[in-house]
Amino acid sequence: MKKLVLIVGIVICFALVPLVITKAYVLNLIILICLYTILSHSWNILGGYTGQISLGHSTFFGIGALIFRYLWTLGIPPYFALCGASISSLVLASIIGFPSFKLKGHYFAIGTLALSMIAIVTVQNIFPGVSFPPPQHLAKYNLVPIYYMALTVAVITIGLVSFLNRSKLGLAFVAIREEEDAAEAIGINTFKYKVISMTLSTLIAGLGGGLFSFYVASYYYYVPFELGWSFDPVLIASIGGAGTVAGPVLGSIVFVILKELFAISLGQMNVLIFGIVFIFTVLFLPKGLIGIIGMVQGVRKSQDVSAKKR
Amino acid sequence: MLRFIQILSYGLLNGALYGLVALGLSLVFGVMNYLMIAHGGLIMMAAYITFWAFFYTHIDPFLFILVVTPLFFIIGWILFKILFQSLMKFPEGEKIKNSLLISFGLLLIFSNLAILFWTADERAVTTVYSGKVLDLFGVRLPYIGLGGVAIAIIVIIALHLFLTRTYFGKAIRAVSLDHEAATLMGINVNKVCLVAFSIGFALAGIPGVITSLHAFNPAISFDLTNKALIVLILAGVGSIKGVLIGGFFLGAIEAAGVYLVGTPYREVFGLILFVLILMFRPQGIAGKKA
Amino acid sequence: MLEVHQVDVHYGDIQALWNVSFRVEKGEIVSLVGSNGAGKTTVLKTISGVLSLTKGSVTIDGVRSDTIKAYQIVEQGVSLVPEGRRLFRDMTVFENLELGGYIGRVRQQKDENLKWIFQMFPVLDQRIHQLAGTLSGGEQQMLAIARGLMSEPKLLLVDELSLGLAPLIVKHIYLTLKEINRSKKTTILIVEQNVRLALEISDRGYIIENGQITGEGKGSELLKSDKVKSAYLAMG
Repeated sequence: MKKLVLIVGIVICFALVPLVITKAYVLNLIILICLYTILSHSWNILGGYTGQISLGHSTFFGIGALIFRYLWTLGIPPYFALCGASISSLVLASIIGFPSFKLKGHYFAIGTLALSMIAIVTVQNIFPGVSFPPPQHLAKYNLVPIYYMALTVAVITIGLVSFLNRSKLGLAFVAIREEEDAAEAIGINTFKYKVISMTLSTLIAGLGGGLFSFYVASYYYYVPFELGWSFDPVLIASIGGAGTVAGPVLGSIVFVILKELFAISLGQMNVLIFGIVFIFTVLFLPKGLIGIIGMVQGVRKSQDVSAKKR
Repeated sequence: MLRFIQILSYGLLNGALYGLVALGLSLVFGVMNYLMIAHGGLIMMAAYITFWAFFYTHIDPFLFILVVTPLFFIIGWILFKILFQSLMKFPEGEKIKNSLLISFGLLLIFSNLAILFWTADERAVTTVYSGKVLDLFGVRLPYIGLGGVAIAIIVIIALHLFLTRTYFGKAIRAVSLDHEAATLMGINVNKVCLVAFSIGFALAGIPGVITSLHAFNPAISFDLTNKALIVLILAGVGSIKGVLIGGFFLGAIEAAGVYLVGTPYREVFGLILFVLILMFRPQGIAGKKA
Repeated sequence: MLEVHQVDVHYGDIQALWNVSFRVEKGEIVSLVGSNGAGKTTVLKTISGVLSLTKGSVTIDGVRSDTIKAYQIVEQGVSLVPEGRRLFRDMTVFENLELGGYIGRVRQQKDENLKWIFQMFPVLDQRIHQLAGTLSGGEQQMLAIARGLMSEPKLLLVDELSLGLAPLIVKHIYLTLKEINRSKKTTILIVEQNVRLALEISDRGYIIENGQITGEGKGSELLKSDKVKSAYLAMG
């Protein structure tokens, strides 16, 4: 109970931020953290909890952005457009995502990577230009509603994953991650649960894409399909701690802040340095920050939902 | 008709290069389950090194292969010891994920180093034979492309002989089949992985040199990695012979794409084929059923 | 020549072996018998270096082997024929045997060794260029043993060779092992669930239950003991 009060308190604090702080810089930072939290958790559901390492989440993110932009330009209010974006991701997932479960282990990873490559090349060819927001919004571009959308979606996402974390559904996911054949043997329909996992995962990725489109005024159509959007969530979830609720959140905070620091101090070199940090974290933080926090507390806090081995 | 054969020929010449590009990636993945998507970045770096070597010394790229190969072998050796050796102890899924992430980091580093040092402008090594073609019954075959095919064939034969006729080569194959059983034969699996990894790097150097003869820029690191992955799957993991065939196959499919729909969609054809193969025949053309 | 002294082995937090001690003299055939999950394979894997022990020591001809790497232990003359054979299935019989003779010390004698192995297991000569994965169960087991012998081991460890094989074939293979022990003086440590077969050809045997040694004796004696009879031979 205390935990719930604490969380509600934090959410309210964040909700009050725009009323107190007007510096765009801070709002931008928080929006970005929310965006990455959403995307990382979307990957986390499929990859962290269910063990299906997807390298193609940029596809679903991108579609979310595309459809959101389209619906929004048609005059549909943002939150409805967001729902549309989310559903479009799911539709795409049912066409190409679910069949990809035919692939096991590393083939799934490579296959999803291939999907994201197809996606970006196709978009680059079909929509070569720049995507502009509806003209009236461009005129009165305001961070505040974007901030609230970001916060809302982030809270929904984290809430969903928390629920998953202590539910039977989540347990089924973890069982599949740990030992798929054993799970099948004890009667878990692994395909069905993988599909559910991917459904939730892509719905959220679509929300993230929609948020991106709402936030970033103009961008080349292919930008939300860039492969970085596939790799960043993997990295973030891994830094923070895959298969946990707090992991991707923590990871996003670290990620966004580090990127900011490097961008400011190093200008052009920032992607370079970032690559190094990338490597460093993979080598030295295999369980993520959550793992380190757990060790420091002297508590063997492995995964939130049962299973020891990562 | 002639146009079709012409396009197909270009496709096949490209295909040889694709096969060469994929060779290193396939070897490393087969032996130790490391997905080295930085491979394209390595090739790009090799292209730049060749370019600048030519710029300052006018050494012919094909000859320069003799320098690049051992150079990249050594670089691979060092990078394995520093970065990749510690991944050996992880289980398969983790190894793939972590090696992928580290490679991606390397890819970012290579691309940006290249842009930083040499800008994003296109380069190409132009030699006396650069524009020249062999005219075979009306089909134009660029000498550079033919050179690429020749090198590809030589390299693959050499690799094949190494893997089947030498003890160490056989040890590499054993390790790619079963690490534990290989250990029981007295094989130092760590050392084998180290060498295989380094060979993988050397195998990035060679296509890099050839690439320098065409127009290139830092962005090709991603394109080349794509190609390598596609050929890897087409060929079937762990099959060396399949890699060349896979390369040719991809080249041919792309040619078909160009012929039917035009150049911009060339990539998409290959990628769609890729996904279809993954769905229906993941073991590839020459691989064994998983 | 093999001395296992008060060995504990853990899989992560789970202890699999408790204070296991036994010895094998040069030229002997010794069996380690017990039911499924008793820890037999764990013992062999520890001796061959694939697993690390958490307490105790393993000594081979006076030299500690638990401190060196698994691939180096092969150099020392210990060869494990693993459970499930672990053949290189996509390679031929010949290539598998060649790899068995990978270590430098035995490469010169490859042809000689192949000759006597083919005498022991003629069927391997017949199938020499066939892919290992296409052989029958019995042939695969013979290949696994032959491969293990290519490194000219002083000590051959055989893990559960009878699994999945017809009794007649198993008997034939055990008799061949006995012949190898006689002619080449190779010390053999056998791990088996099929207690009778193993003890019948062994000089001595140990019984292992739940990770602990619970009995030892001469092969023939153990076969007659009440304990073994009731627990493993379904008699009395």
